[in-house]
Amino acid sequence: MSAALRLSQVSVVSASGIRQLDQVSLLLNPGDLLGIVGPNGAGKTTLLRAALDLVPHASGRIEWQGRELQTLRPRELAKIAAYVPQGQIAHWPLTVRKTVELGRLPHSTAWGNVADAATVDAALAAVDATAIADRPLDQLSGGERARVLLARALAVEAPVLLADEPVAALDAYHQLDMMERFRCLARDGRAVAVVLHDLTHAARFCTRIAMLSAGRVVIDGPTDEVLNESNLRSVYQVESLIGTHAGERYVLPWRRHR
Amino acid sequence: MKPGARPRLVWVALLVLGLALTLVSLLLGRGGQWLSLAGAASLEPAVFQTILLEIRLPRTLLALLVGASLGMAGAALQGLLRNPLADPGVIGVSAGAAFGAVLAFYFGLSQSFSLALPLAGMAGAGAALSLLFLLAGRGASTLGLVLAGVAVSAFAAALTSLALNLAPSPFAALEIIFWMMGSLVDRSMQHVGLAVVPIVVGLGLLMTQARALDAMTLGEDVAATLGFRTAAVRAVVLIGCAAAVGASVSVAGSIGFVGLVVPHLLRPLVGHQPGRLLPLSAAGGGVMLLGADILTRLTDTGPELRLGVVTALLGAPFFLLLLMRLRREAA
Amino acid sequence: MRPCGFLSSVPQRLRSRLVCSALTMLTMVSAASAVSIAGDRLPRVVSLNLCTDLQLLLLADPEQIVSLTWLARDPRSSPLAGAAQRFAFNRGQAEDVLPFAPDVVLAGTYSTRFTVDLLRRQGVRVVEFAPVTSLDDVAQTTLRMGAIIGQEARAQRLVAEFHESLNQTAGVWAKHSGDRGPRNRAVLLGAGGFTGGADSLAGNVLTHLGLVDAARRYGAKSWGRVGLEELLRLHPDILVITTGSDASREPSMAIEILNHPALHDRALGMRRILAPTTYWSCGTPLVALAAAKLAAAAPAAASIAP
Repeated sequence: MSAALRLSQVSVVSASGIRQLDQVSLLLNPGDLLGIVGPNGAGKTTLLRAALDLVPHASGRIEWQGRELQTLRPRELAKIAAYVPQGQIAHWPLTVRKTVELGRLPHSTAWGNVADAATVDAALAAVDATAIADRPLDQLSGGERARVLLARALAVEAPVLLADEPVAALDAYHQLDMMERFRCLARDGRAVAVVLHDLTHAARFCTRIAMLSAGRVVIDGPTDEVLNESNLRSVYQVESLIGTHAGERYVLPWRRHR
Repeated sequence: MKPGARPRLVWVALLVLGLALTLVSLLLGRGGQWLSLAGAASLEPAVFQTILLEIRLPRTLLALLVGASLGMAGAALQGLLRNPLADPGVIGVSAGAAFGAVLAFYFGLSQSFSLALPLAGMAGAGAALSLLFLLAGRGASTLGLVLAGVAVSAFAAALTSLALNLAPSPFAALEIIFWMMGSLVDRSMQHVGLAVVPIVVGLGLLMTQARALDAMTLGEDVAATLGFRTAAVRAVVLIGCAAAVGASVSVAGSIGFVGLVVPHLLRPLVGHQPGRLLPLSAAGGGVMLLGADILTRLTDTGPELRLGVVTALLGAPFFLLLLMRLRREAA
Repeated sequence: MRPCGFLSSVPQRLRSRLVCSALTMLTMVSAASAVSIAGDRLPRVVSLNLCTDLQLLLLADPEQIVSLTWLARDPRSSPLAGAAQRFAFNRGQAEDVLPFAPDVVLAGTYSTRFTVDLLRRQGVRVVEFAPVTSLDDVAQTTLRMGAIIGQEARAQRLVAEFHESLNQTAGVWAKHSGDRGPRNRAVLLGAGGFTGGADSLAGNVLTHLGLVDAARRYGAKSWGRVGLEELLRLHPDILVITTGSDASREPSMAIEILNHPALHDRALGMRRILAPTTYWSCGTPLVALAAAKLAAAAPAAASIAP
């Protein structure tokens, strides 16, 4: 069986000539919850955008479920991978249900019915948003909005989910809530990749970690092997406290490395 | 409230209002005088027929077509640019069409054959669109597109002013100024025939992008990952707007505020969904412009009010009220 | 002073000796016409343009006039507003025309394009008149109008009177200023600083009177704008102010320019003559009245020579 997503030697060069990704190779399999970590500017967002063909890649090969990216039509790709971008905002205050229905667009014909009620209901239920289904987006709290936007991505029913800093603007409770949902999704057999800044979240929830620095994947492997003091020191330039609680690891960046 | 119930009610209301206004538009003349075959203001049957079919009918049809174009184009551009302040003027096509028509005045083409004016207007709209694509390119951001539109608009307006400045006589200048205020007086079925194809094609193109505009609600990246080619969406929306608005300006002159106010007014009624707003804005625009055109006929003395002046007079205060209400709600 | 009949709407102050002779001529023509009609029915006419309105008022029998534009009855734009009151008015739209089935519709070449096209498609005979830009054109246009509405004889008489009136005023300014040096350099000043050059009708009148168009050097041939600085640099002896019927009552940019202190500098000695636009904005024989009015101011100008 082919991987959900495979990047081989992918490079992305910006219009101004800056090499944003440099020979990146990466593998994402069903059941994975891949944490993509790394300092600011390392290329985490560019990695997701390149995989989704939102930015062109200068060289290398990107394959979704064994099919080369360039051979996929946008709609085919849309059915494979759902995307939750960083700091996503809705420009019009649609209701929660209408927002989630947008996730059905890859499956609709030009004039056919978008609203596949059962799927939308399931997506709403998956994020516990059934009760707020008729509220407009601009009347939701930050945590509710993040859940609804995740439900929108779930409504696509894509086997792959890419989320860019999905917990960045949330409080502690909602951060944990979101991370648990991602873990469930992966356990259900989806391939999930999440860009994270919180290394404890990465350590506790992710099955694998890809650590980026300056456009390169420095280390890629099982969580426990990647998140150790020496890697954090060399990539993040920080000294970290790493411990365990109830069998799970926590990672606490403590001070800048001198 | 059950979602969907309200839009249906709005549709029914707009259709009833549209039909009523169509009837009024066909029968009401200057100074509020009704067309009639009997009574004091009676007409010969032949004249009655001519006025009804050759003057009032094209005028009414054009009001509906032009209003629909402006309304839907406004809604589509607001959806594409995700900005409620966008209107058909932002992409420079109106200004281009106006300049094309002014050139026809300037070189006296409008006197040599009767359809020179609308044809030159459409050529101007096409030129403005080409310039826009040239400036904004395929990969430009929304901001880049708006800036290019502003540049095209300003350039066309400057050329129009130049033509006014160099006009061969004060009479020509005056006529240009009047034309730019917009009017549907004495248009014929020929004008309808000329405008209807680009308008219907343009509006049809916009309707094909309804789903894409819905997807744009969550930004271009999400729209792309929902299976829409955003560059193509943008191109189709721009071409659709240019065809519909260019043809409209070419036969009716510059008419403001319809494309801005109508989508604004109707958006809450479709739950802010850009796609569903498109057809509703077309209906609303047609009704609004027809109503405004009827208003222009109500004065009895002096010059007839210009259509663009009436829509602006109605639209601007209305728009202010709307903004004030929105701000109160936000507070 | 005896009343001047038909053109009773002409302001009192215009009824100078010269003016009155012109008015008498028009009155006589109009009165004579009533008996001259014989034979076929004369064409019934709708006019969609102020200038053709005025021509019709001068040439046509009242029965011929179906309607005139609303501008014809407004004294701010029409010198014959009084005479126009008795006729129906239109706003230049096809709906104003079709119910009355006129024989001819008169229109200007620049105005009401859509209406003219629509009427023609309905089989209505529409005759267009271009704006008149010279005194020669006035005579030609008048004769053409006479032919169209079946009033050739009246048009010929009116043109003859027009020429006679013009002959009385030809070169008046040149004669008065000749021996006392060049005191006859004039600039036309209208609303918004508009100036008419030698190739405009108003400029033509100035030349006819023996005034020298000072703005010619500035480059305004047919029409253009002249700013305050250009005006001072040109330093004309006479400012011919052609704004509205009464410059003191009509606010406009031209009046603003005229109120500028720079133009009130006594050392400049610019003389101002008011010439109501209404008389020469259209190329009708009424232009002779404007010429007469300007000619009447000539002797007074000579008397303030240095």
